[in-house]
Amino acid sequence: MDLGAQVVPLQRVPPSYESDAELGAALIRGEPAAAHLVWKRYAPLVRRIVKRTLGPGYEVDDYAQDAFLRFFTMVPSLQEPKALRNFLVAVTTNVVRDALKYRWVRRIMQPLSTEVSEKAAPGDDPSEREALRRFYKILDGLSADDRTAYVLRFIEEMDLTEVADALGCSLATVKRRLSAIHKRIFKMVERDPALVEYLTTRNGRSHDA
Amino acid sequence: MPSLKRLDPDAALAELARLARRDLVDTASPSEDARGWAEVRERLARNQNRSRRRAMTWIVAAAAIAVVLVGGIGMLMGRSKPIEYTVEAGTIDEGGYVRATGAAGPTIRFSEGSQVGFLPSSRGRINSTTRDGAQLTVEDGGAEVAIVHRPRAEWLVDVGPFAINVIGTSFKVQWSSAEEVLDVRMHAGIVGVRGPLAAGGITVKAGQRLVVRVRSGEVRLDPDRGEAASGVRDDATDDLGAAPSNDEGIIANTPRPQADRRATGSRLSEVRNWSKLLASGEFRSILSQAEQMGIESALSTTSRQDLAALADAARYSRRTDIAERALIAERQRFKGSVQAKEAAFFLGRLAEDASKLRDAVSWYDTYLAEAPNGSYASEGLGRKMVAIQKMGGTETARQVARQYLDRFPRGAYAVAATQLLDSR
Repeated sequence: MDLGAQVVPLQRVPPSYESDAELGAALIRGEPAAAHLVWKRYAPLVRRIVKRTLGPGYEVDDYAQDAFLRFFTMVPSLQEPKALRNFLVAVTTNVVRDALKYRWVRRIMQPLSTEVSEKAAPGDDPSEREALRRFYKILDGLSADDRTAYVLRFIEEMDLTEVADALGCSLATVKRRLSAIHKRIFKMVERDPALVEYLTTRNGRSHDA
Repeated sequence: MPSLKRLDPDAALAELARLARRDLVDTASPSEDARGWAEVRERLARNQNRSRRRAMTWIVAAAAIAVVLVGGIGMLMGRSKPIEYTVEAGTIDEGGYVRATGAAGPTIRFSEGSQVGFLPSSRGRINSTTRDGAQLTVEDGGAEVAIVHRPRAEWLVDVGPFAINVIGTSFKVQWSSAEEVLDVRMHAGIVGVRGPLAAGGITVKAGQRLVVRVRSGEVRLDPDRGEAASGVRDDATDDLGAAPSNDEGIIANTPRPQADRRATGSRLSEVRNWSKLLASGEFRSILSQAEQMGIESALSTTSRQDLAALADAARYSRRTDIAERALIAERQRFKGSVQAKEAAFFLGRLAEDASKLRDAVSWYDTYLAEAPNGSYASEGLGRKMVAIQKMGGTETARQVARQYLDRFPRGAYAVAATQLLDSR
């Protein structure tokens, strides 16, 4: 055995495509590693958006997979590679809106169903769990579009232009709509005594004496 | 009681958003993530194989046609091109969203002569075009639609949760997402409208006006007295929220016209997405597609979500036979999934509807054991209580009532449970 002539096999290092522009371009070119990198980079974001939009207790994996499938089939229409993230968020938003409409049909067809109101929310503190459950029950009263807009802006903390891109509407429309939704949600919160109590006790910014 | 009015609305909602941000995070483990990617890859490969098979079928068919009709190739090639369109007073982005560039609504002119003019402040998009038509969405607001009548024309206009099948016609459609009201005014021709409260499809003819108020469950099909006579303005929300002005409207739920069925069937054969169809209220389309492919085949080959959508469509259309088989298939094929667990609850509902109360209780028990905190836990327990009571097991029903009130003190069956306990 000739130890002096040891051969070290070259390992193929997968490309990293650090910027979205590089990754998007690779995806458009159909490079095999690109799709998996998109998944690795953005699956947590997609799952989080789905979870936060649908609310506590819902299965998110199927919807996240649907979002990626729809995204991969729409790659040819991705004209700006650097807009990869925004494009994926817009596709995810559409998938979630479809899911909300589907849930809405179920509610219409089964008026007695308590589907959302009895969902268990995560968290250790029972009062916080209950507050979160009640908050999402209020969001159930919004249309799929309004709910998605609200979640992206105030829970996912996206900036207004990202929300406008995701919903496919103008910045002015998003601003106007979010302002109206914000007021509407607050009115509904006001009508829920348990939430009022939770917020008054919990929120140090109360003006109560 | 403390008053929220003294709280800052921003601070109050920020606290609730903070809770959501803190508790609703991505919890997928590395192995779950890897499994998710494997499933996506597998589904992508399946789709590509299907596309390749479909492409191969077309190639063979095209070759056969070419041999028989050598002289017609050029014409056939020309016909297979999707129709083209231009946009006036607006632009279309990569997602197909139509944006106005001025105060007026954008107008889309199609190469075969049809045109769609969005009303000011409306939102919409072009989802796809084929050689025979297009699929459009009016998300909010309205549009004037004028489709040129041609053989094999296939146009579909999605409006909110509704779908309008068009052959050749002109009409004005408005949808107010805030009020959840659909308004269709037919100028010429005929359309089929499907969606919430119109699951069976409603045919609207020239000179008629269809108004569907989803929230109040009202469907009205009246002669259209014209915009001047009815005082309709282009502001969808103001107009559509108003109460109907006469009592002569008829509630219509007519069978879908043959032509509509053909159009939808063709569109859907390209992409089977039964969840989406279900959301649009197209229950019959789902069932007819399943029947076309063979119920047994549908039950054994469709994806988890499509199978759940088939079961729901069958339940909503009272096709109990198919619903039961689909639910059983969900439980067998996707054991352990949310859908499989929920299928037990729905099997309980079917048994209850068929007055098989013992079976119903057994299915509810199965569901409650498999998904104690599931979507239908409250309803399952409540229905179990009522079913046991109906079977004469009052004492057992009371035990369930106690259990119910412990778990769901404000649930839909809390009043019934309290009455049952008080009736000693």
